[in-house]
Amino acid sequence: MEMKQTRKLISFVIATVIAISSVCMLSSLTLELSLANKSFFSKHLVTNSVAEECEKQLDLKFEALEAESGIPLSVFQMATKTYSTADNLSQASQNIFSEETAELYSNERVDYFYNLCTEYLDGNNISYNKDDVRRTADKAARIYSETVGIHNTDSVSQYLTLFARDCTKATSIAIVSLIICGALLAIIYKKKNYAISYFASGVAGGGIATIIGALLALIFQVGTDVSVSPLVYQSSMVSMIRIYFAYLMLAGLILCAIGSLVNFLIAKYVKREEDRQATRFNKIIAKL
Amino acid sequence: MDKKEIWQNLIILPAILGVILSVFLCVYLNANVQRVLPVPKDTAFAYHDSSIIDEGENAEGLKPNTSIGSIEFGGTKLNLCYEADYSNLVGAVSFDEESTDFSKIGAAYLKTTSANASLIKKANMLNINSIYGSFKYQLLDELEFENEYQATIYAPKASKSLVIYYQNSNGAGLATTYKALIYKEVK
Repeated sequence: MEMKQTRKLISFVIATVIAISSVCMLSSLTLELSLANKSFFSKHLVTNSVAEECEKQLDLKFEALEAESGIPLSVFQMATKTYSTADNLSQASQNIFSEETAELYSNERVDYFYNLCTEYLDGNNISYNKDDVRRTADKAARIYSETVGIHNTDSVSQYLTLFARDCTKATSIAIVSLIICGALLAIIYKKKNYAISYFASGVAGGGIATIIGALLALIFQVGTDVSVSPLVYQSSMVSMIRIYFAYLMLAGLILCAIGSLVNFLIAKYVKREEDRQATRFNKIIAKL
Repeated sequence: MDKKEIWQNLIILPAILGVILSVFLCVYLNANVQRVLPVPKDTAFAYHDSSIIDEGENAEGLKPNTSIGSIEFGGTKLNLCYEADYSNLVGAVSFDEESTDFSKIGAAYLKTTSANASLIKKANMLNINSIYGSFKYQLLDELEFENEYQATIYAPKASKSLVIYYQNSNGAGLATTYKALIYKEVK
């Protein structure tokens, strides 16, 4: 009797370790497929509201450049009419993880602003100093880069690579832990349905923990105060985190369903075995 | 395997484990949200300007882009903003962080655009109403400097003075030089 109780207690402990390992595995695996995934990151960083905010910021800064340089705002605004801000942002976000720069500052862009300015000044017979206009064009290109370009991408790219590696490591450790727990259960029980049932309980428990944990995180708005600037990118990061929690809930649901299904099948199998044994016993009794 | 054990493994054990671990997971996520973010803390993806925020009540702990008063000249009024972002220079003059405040001996330095400066210099006098008090200034001179730094270290002769500086523009485009309007306080 005491042996049976000890075995049950050990099984509970192993099921708890399985549940914890399942949560770790799901969290890191979902992270790998969402936030730590380069294409997911690039796709979700730039949204329509980022493009709108960038255009608003460009207008404000170009207005200040107009007040400084005397060249009308409409000349600088041509840049947003010729090239779509959303397209440039999307290009910049794709360049985050490539060799290309995501900052959108180049000599070609300075030349582009210079040509816009000189076209206006020549067209209106306004005399100008070429160096002054080039300086203005350079400032306009820098404003465009600071506002629409995506900066500090080297550190983000490096961090993301390390982050993805850590996620893989955590997933591997969790899988190894699950295998060890499964082996321990197999050693403890001769009847394999006991071992499988405890394993499935742990997995289902991990699934439930992930669903409720992610749901609570969504309800309590975990991650809304991430320190990223400007504010519009902070909103992008917050929505990325929310997508991650949603994925986590879905993954938890799948794991919980698998664990419960396995336990349900075992319960069905045990009942069938009991019925079969009862029938056989009845037949023997009837014969007697 | 008896019925009790089947129910225990099918429902009770996963439910208990799930509820307890979910609380731990939520607490962990809340405390370590930066750990699930694939970006370093305080990452600046772009450099956007802030809007001017409400008037600061005192000079302690002022944040950039806080309105600290106004500057009035010839019937025109501009916002006086502490460390204004570039785009805020359109309707405001920026009070330098390291500048002496208007009430003290020395010079206060304000940055603005050439468009604002051409309006300001038309009026010979200007008034400043700020969290440091109200002050009246008279235009003394307009000087040209090689760069912005030279303008910000220029020390006028008057004991209480004001330097309003801006990047020079010769009609169209930005020159390398900076200009400064030099004022002295009058009673």
